[in-house]
Amino acid sequence: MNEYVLRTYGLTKTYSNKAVVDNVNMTIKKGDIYGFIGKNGAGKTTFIRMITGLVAPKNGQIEMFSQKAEKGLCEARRRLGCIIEMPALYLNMTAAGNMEHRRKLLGIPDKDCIKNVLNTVGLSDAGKKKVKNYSLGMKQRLGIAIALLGNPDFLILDEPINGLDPAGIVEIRDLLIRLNQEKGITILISSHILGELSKLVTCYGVICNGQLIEEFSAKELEVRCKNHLRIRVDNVKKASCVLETIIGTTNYDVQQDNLIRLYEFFDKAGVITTELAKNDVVVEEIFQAGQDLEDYFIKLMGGVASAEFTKS
Amino acid sequence: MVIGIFICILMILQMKGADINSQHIKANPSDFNIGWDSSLGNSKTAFGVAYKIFGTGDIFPILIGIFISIFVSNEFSLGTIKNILSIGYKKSSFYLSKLITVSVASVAIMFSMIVVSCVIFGIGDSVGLSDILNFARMLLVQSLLHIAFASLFLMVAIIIRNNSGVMATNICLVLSASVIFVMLSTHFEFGKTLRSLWLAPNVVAMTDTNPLTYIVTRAIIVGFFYLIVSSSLGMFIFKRQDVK
Repeated sequence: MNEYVLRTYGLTKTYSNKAVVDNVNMTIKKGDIYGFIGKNGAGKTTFIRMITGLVAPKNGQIEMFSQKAEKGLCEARRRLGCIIEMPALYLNMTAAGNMEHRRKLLGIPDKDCIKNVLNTVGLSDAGKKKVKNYSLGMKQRLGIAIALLGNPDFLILDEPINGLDPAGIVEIRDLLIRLNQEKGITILISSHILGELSKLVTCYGVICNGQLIEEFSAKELEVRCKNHLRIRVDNVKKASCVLETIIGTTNYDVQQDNLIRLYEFFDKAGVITTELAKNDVVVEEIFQAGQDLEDYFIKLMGGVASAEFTKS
Repeated sequence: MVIGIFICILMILQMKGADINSQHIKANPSDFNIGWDSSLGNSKTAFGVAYKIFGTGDIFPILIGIFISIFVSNEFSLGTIKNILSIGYKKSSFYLSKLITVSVASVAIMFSMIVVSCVIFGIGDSVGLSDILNFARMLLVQSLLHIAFASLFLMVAIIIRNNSGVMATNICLVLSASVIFVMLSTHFEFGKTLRSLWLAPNVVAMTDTNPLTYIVTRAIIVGFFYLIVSSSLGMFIFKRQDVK
């Protein structure tokens, strides 16, 4: 069984000779919660539109559930649930009416599934209120409910927590984690709220000016961002012995280029330097490093654009 | 049904107003015999009303154009088309479903007018089998012509996608095409031939209670031509457009 839900090969889209998505090779494994991060206008939504079949790519290929051909992709997209930008709703219908329309589109025979999904997203009390009278948060919840109808294997959510109150954000986050863990649903989620993403995703893809700069797991990101003492020495083996026997810690990593990352004793840099020197270890540099999520991504995408990202 | 009633009332008012200067005016203004005679096409029956309404050439196409501009353009403005296409439905299937729906709606608008006319005016006492068969033939051909109009308007809606833009374009298409063809046929010989190849003149030509065979044949060919060409072109363009 193929372990990948989505793979793209050199996916490109141009408008007026400008590449808005430029040679993107993305890989999403089954069971991942993939956080798709980028500035406004980076190409996230255009990429999502291409994989959902709304926009034809200029170049490249999409593979979804092992299907590459157009006919196979149409079949594969039946296993998809998505919200792209704003939820697309019939304003003169109720929540149940919109869900019923979706149920018929998907060919789901069971009518009870509508109530279950509306309960799940907290819209069971919506009653006969028409969607045109809903708040933004309610519309967002209904959009998520529509995406969830039919138990999709792959959920694509473009800014799903926009407009939700803090309690709503927590509910949706817990719901997505539950869906991922209990039902194995793979999720691609794009958001500007880095703090929320960090509590949810298992891997990240960072896009800038249409190019996928990097993909890495949440664990890797944690390592990269974690506060540490950065120590460059001339003899890593001797330095490790000193740290373990004299300083009394094993909470460190040895990196390339004779670099040691020590994850504690941040205020004992002087003591550590002295002990290393006593044991004939030359300390070439020692300083405290580490950064928060926002700083890391801004640095990754180059330049100052802090207004475009928010901490939770 | 509501649209059919509205059209009947509109036509009655129009017929009454148009005949104010007619030499058939009688002293009693409440006499609704103005403009009516014993011929089927002018009789004060459902048949007569239907022939007169189709005889304007523009009313139904304008109503159909307005309906399509609301029905189709809303899918784009609300974004609900994304819900359909993103789960694997092909663009050609979507287009075809819209074409079938607007075609059925166009015929339904026409037939609701017939039903309302029958209720208000009745079918008359001196209607024979041949009259009914001619009327049925006229309705069938009118249905084809109006479905062709619907297909043309659908193509416009798919290209423009904006509610008011589509509505304005559809209405202008109906009104200006009629004016242009009339002007061409007045000043140029080829204009008369060209005019006969547009849909509206064929709609009017079919309101003869016993049209010539070549007129019926021409109306059918023109109807199928516009239906096939506009559907094919519309589908071709839609498949190549991005949906945002």
